[in-house]
Amino acid sequence: AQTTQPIQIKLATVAPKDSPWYEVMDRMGQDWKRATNGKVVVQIYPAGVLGNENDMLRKVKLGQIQGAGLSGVGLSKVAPGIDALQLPMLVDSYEALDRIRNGMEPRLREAIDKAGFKVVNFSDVGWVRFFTVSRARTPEDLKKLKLFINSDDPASELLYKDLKFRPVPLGVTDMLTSLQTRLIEAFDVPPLLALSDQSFALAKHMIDVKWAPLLGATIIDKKTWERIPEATRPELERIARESGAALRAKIHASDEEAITTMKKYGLIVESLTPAELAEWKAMGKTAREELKKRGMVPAADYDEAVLLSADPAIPAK
Amino acid sequence: MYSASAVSIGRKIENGFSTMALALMAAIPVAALIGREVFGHAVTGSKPFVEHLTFTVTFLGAALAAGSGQLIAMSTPSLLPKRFAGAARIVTSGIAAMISIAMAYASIEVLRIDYREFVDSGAAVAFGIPVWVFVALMPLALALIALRMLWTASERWKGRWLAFAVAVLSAAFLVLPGLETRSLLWLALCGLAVATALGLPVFAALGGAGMLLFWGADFPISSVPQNAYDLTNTDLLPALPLFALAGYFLAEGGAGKRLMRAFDALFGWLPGGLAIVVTIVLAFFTTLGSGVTILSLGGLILPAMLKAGYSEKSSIGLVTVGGSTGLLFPPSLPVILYGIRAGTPIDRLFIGGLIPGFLLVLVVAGWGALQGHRAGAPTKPFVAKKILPALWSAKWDLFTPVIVLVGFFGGRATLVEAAALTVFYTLFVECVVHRELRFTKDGVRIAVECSAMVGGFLILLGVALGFMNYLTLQDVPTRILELAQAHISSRVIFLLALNLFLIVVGAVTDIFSAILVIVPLLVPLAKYYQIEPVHLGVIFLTNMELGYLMPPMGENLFLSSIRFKQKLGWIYASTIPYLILIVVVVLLVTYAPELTLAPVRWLR
Ligand code: NA
Ligand code: NA
Repeated sequence: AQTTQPIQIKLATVAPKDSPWYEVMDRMGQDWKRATNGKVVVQIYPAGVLGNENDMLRKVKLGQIQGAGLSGVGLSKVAPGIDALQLPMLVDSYEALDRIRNGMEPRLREAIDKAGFKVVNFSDVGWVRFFTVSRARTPEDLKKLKLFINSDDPASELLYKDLKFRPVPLGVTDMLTSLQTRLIEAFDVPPLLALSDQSFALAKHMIDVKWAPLLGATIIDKKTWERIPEATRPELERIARESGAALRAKIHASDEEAITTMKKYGLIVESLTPAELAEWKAMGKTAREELKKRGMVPAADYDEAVLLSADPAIPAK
Repeated sequence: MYSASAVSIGRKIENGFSTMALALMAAIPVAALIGREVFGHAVTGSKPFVEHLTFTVTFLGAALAAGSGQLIAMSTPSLLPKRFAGAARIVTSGIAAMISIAMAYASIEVLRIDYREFVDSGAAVAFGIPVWVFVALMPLALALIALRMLWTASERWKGRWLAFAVAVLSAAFLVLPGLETRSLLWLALCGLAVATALGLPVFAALGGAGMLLFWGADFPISSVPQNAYDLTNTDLLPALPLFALAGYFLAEGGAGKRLMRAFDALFGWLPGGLAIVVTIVLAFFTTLGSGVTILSLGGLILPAMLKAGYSEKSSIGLVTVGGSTGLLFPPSLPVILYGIRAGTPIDRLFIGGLIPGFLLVLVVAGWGALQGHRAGAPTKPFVAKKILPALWSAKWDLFTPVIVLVGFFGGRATLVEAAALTVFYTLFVECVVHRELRFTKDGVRIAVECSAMVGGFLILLGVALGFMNYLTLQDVPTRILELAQAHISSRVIFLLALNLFLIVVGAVTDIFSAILVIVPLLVPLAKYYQIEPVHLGVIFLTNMELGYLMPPMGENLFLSSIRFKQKLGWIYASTIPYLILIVVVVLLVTYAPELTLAPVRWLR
């Protein structure tokens, strides 16, 4: 006989409680509960109360929690191929990004499955842009400034070093203080994050270039997923997919909304001339080549992402 | 039983490793700083590596602390009659050994996962060293701690065997079949509480409680060691052992007597001037090393005060109280730890603490001076030309905090890098300039002592993270918030309740445990009542300063009682006037937020 004990799925995320990422995860959890008559219960731990994405993954592996809502930073530790979707200056619209994502989804799911996780949905965190304490417009301007790098991400530190930037690896908690003391003078995050942690107040210039997309996904420990009765799974997958799509729509709108709000509080958006944009495109190309050369992105994934980005006529697999 | 030379070789290896870990902890951030600021190249992976070295020092140091009886424990057993105290030590040592072994066992699961991860991905922390190598230290050190708990349970073999029997029996109690889980759980938790009051090291109490609670709620017990590993994800944490090490170098290198001379030339001519001098010197040292100041400087200060005509009671009272007055000034470890746990910017905490800290020094020095004046301590003439030479001879010591101020606040260095620089600076000053310490011989001795001190409280932090993680998983912080919202309507009442609560916390626990366990619960509450985060920090820390002196459990009271061989009651009496004055300052700080917040705003 089936046990009457509901299946507990505890999910952690660094997204705060009043953010769209939390809201959508929460709604998914409630829908799952309803769809299973309370046999699957989801509990969410927001705002990083269970640690950063590294800690969360360790806690999932240990069996303390059953899944996590991750950004591309944590995801690429599960499946390095994710970084093929986050290449600098490869695409500049969600349309093009979705095309690559849809095309690569099967192989990414497989890679994540191999690592012992089930992806229930993919989402977005936003386009990473550069925020600077003093006016900067071109890659050459940015190279003069000390650039914050998350010390948990040594790969991007190496990348920026190769590109002749001045990366300063620091902990996330050090970021605001270091902006104040000018130990760092620039950082790159999606606008919504700069708004939510108020870091834009200390770095009032934003270079208006979509440097790279930052992805997100909700993953669940495979063993837990397989405890859910097989007949119920497709319905839960459908709910999760829909919530992922709803979140993407929300995020797509919020990118611009966040910029508008920050402008009201004094953010100066540095809109680029075509020549300046071309400099960024060239820098993006150099960065991509470096990523490939160093093997930071698996070659097969890299090639497929480039292929999918190049020609809109190629349909998704 | 076993060969003495094997033990001594083992000791040497242990000392060597902890010295090396501390040395690398100091060297790597300095290399990173020079690389970045001078050559424009960061040392990739230095930060995670230094964080893992902190983890290394935690466990190696805790094992050393277990050997030398430096694991933090409640000091209540010293109130017990002698024959009960011996029995209590045997029982609590046995329980501590059992818990350490259980935690070692639990950490093997973490090790297994990390080893598999390494086999799958080959990932390394930095410089090619994988995570599992560091994680493997946990079971090793915990097993060593268990052995040492049994060894130090008694001077005699009979006592050690008895402790071993207690360990086996208490383990058997847990795996005994037929007992219903929940009742067993509560019984075991109550047992732990009693054992803690009888002197069970707090790390064993929190770790044991954590494992029991996780187990009772169907979580893996390896959650406790897993959370201890999260020490490697705690930004700024490496600054703690580094500042402690710098403080040790200064204290051992005779900075105390040089500073006494310097401040004596400045303030010694005032009525009761010696008390003022003593307060300032003690405050200077507390910023680096907390309560140990009393142990290291007591022998220097007490004779000087007695000679000047101060009574024994007022001298010891001042030293006892003075060993906490620098708590709010940079680079005080409790402030750093508070900032880490509360997520409040550390620079603002230090700036906010300036006026409250100054007020504390003022009342303590003032009351001390009054005692000196009443006792007819002779006043010395003011000699202007003595000031500069005296200050000059202590210039190197006085310059120490400048490194942090310029390096960190000037935007050149991270806090950890500034701390590492301070270590090199103090080592240089004591070995090369003053030649008070010999580089290798004293360096190793001090590094080992410092490891034990630091390990003793960092392991406490490690298990406290596990304990907090349990509370978070059970939504306790949210429930406390709801409870407060339902019962406390106004901000003033909240502050009053907060003061009373913190005085009780300070009276029954030590400052580090309090920061680790209470702060994460307090922050959301204070946010709800719109207490400014920096103000909350300063309220909390001044309250804890009071806790150093609050009977029955104030740490400084016990340290003084040990150092000066006086009964606790006598020490209580010697500190009461100060206690009252500090309560006044605490209330002032709580209800006049401008004292804290005006400088923060002003320096923005
Ligand atoms: Na880290
Ligand atoms: Na206390």
